[in-house]
Amino acid sequence: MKARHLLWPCAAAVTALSMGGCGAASVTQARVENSVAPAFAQLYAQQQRLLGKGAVPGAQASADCHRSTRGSGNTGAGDDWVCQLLLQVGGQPSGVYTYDLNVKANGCYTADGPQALVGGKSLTTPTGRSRVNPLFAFDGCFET
Amino acid sequence: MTAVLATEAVAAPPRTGRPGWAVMWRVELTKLLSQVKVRAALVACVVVPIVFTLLESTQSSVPGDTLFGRWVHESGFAVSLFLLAFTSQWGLPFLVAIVSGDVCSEEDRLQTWPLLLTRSRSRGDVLAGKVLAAASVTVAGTMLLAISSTLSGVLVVGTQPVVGLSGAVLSSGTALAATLASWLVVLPPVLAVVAIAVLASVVSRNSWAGVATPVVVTLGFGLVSQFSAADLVRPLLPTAGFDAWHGLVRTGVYTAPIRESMFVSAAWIAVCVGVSAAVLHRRDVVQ
Repeated sequence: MKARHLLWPCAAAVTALSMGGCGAASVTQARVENSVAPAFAQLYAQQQRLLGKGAVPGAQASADCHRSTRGSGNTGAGDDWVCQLLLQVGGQPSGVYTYDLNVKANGCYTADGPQALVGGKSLTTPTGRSRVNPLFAFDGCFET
Repeated sequence: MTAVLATEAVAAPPRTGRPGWAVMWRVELTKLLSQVKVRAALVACVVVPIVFTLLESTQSSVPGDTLFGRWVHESGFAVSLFLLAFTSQWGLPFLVAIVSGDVCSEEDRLQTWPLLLTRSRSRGDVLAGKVLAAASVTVAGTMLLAISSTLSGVLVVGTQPVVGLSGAVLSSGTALAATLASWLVVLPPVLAVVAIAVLASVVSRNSWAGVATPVVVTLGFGLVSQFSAADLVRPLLPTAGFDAWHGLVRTGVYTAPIRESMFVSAAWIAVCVGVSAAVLHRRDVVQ
């Protein structure tokens, strides 16, 4: 293929890339918060089930997420996202958990939990089995 | 007797009534499947998931840096989905490269274009046959990978429910359906990469370039996609389709990325095959 054949695709790609900086971001604060909060609440209920503490029907969470890098505008991919998760069980506030998030540009993230509050990598069920602790770290994806 | 048969074969070529591209598809399929590297790749698609699952089940650490990696000891469906997430980045491009990377350039290497194109089939038929053969073998390889991953996961680890990408626990039935659908969803971008490989193979006339291009292009697109600055470009790249299954393995399923991926992949296939056809049509092969 001659060089001039590559010119137009390259020019189009560069233009689109530069426009991307100004266009609507795929990773936004609202999207991160709306994904992390319900995921955390459901995984909390799952952890309580595994620990034999019975079902937690009313577990709900709200998230307050931001990027710790100044000037980031709380948008975009990065491993500096921090989320404050307020857990409510049966309508009563039940604790605040701080998760560190690595959010990728495709809308998938890994959330690392506070070990002191949620426990280590694995937990032991009442029957003595070792299982993955769902709150230690969890992965999620949101639509971008 | 042999001479009579041979004469008949020359005098009356078998009139099967099949269109030229279908004849070439079959011919090219036979050529592909007789290659050792293609057979080895297909065997690897079956064996690698089995070996991974058996080895993983003997150790306590988990590959937590890839989606579903932290659940591979908890559910067989997580094993399959982990292998999907891993191979869509690090495996499928190599499968495409091995199968399709020299599907046209091998004729340059072996200097068989004049032989091939002086037969009664048009250049369009020949290219169509090659593209269809490469696509069929790659799809077969991907499906072997899917079946082997899911079966080894289910047989070695089990059919336990799995935590989806929304944090909700998916029942075994839902997880199985989502897993199988996810493997199907990866096919459009795989076919787009096949088309890129065929184009590279036609244009470069070099097997090394044909094999390297799909791998380099896929990794390059993957790299570009990591930047938030590429938000507008990302959906237009065929590699975005490798993430489209994320919307299926969860509660509150979303399928818009799958539809986008099908359109984008179709466009890449149309452009790459179209340019390949144009280049091949103009080429003077009888030097």
